[in-house]
Amino acid sequence: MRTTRIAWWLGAGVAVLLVVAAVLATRPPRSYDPSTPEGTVQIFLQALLDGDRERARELLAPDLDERCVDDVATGESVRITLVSSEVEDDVATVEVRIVRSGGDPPFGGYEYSQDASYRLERTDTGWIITSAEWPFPCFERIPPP
Amino acid sequence: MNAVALLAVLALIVGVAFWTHRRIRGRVGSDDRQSALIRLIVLGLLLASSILVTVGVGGLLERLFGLGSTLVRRGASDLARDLAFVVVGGPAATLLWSSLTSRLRSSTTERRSMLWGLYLGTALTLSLVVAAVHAIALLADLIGPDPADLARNGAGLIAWGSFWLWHRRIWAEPDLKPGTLPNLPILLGSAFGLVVGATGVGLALGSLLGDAYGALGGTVIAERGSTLDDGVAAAAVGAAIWVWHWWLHGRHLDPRGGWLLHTLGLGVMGGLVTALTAVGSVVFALLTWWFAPPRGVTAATHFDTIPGAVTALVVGGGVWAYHRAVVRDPSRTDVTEPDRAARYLQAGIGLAAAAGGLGVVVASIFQSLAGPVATVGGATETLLAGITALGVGGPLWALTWRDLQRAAAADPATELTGTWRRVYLVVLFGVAGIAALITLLVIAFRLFEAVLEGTSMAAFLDSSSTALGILFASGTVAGYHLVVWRSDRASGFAPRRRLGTVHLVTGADDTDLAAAVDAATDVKVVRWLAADTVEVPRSELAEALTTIDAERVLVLPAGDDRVRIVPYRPA
Repeated sequence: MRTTRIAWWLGAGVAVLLVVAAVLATRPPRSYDPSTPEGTVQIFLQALLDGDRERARELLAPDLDERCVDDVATGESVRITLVSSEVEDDVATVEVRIVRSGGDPPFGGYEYSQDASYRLERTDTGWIITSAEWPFPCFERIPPP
Repeated sequence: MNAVALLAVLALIVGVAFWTHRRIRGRVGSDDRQSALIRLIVLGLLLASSILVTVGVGGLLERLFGLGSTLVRRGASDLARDLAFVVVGGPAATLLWSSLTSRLRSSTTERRSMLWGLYLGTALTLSLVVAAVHAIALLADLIGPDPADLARNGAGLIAWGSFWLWHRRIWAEPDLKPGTLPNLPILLGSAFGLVVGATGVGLALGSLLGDAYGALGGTVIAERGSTLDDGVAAAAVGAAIWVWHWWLHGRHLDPRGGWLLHTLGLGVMGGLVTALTAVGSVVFALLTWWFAPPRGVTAATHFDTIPGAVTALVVGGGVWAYHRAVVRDPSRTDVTEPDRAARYLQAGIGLAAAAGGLGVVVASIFQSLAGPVATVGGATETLLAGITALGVGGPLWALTWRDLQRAAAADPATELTGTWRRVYLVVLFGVAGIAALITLLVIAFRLFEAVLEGTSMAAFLDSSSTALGILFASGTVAGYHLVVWRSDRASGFAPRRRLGTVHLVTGADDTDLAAAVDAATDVKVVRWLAADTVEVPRSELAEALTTIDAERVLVLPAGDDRVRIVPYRPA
């Protein structure tokens, strides 16, 4: 019957999709140039997700709070996508979308997303983060008058 | 307790009043409306007053049973309340009941009223639930290590059990048995017993398996209490309720309407979904352990969902297998309508899981294409969840659907024109259509947002990936079934109109003929009794009708410009 033939084709199509998805899913995240603002934010965020505080700390402005690199490993899945990146002279703003998912997969999971922006400044050694909205909002301390 | 009971009664009366109002609005004749209103008020008051008496008696019994063990008691307002409930509710219930029972015994119309059936269904189910809750607590206390609260639960069980027994006797009496919805209490009781019994078996088995797993894997550091006692108690009480309602009565009922809803909706669908979810969670645990092992988690902890899953598989699978066998009538060689409905239901459940899985797989492709800047867990785990759903639902759908298509090829005249096949296809198109509309809305919103705010393509792809996945899956499902629909239509077997109801109008109540028609046609038979026929010329029909003393008449052609008037009433 014609419908049976179509069902087989659909099954084959699903198998192909599975292979494509598996290949794409195991591919490492795209690497941005570490000398760019988005590259700096990428290294910072991946270090946080991997629990490497030391590495994350190096990319922060020295006067930022310790809490900025608090552990974010909560057992949730996290996926961070670049939303936009703007550079104006020596200051850059990088905006990302953070999607966190967890719960009890495969049938009872949850997923929610939030946007966060990072402000960076150019130094002799590269870009450093001077304010961050995620994982904790932390901003440059205004020096006392 | 009293506030809850009173609120429940109030809600019930309002609900019944609203329902009756809708029900009687369509009828003509003020007599009908008036008697329905009287019936509503009498039955509502009877229910309220019998609940009051039961609560009052329960409270008094509790006080009596607790005499020896009560240490301190202050104030007497609860005693006053219970006394008031009994003293006011008792005579009220007796009065209402004696006026109602003579009307019920003397009038078929009264017994046939929908409200009477609803009243018995509500009263029997309500008292069954409350009595069962007390019985489970009592049993769990008796077999468990905690001191038993015999006074409270024993009193509740006796009071509500008597309420149930009394209504049950009314229900079984031929002179009082409701003519409409007679089996509502049986089916509701069967459903309640099944849910309580299955939950109880699940709790007990899950507790045993969980303890065994904990002992083997050494994952338990400290524990207190156990659900074993509660599980055993609920299993015993649920089983007793189920055996009485289903095994002795329900399974012999006419396999239509509420019976079908119970066996298919609760038995086949509930059991299958529970079992499938269990299989899915084990497959998912295995896949994640193999392909995306979580950091710093031991195997024993990672697989600690297995005892629960095995329990759910055993209980859900058992419930499913039993009800699957029930709808397969062993005395018939051909496929019965309930059996056919069950197959389409199973195909639908498998398809829903598989389509969901396909949607997740496609969503994960879009997420990967978006090129995230940083991830943890992420893509792999999502993909594995999708593969699990696809792997669990896909085979179920494929096997069930293959059988259905083979049956359709073997006997297209019956299968292709069947109600359930059309219901299946129409429901699929409906669900796919709703999914497509919602996901398109989300995608359009995200696209406009991206364009207007100037965000990156990657962010758009990522945030609409779920919607794109669902859209793809529902499109695929709808597309395939559109081909099926077209090929069904092209086969040329037009659905013929099926017999729905046979109205049997006879001189004397001919139950043999009704049974013969019922057995041969598989349709509902409504029996009517005809009174003496009058034959008049057409021109005198209107006048003749005014003289007839009957609620219903048939007017039939009698040739030569004459008509025959047949007064009839329910048998």
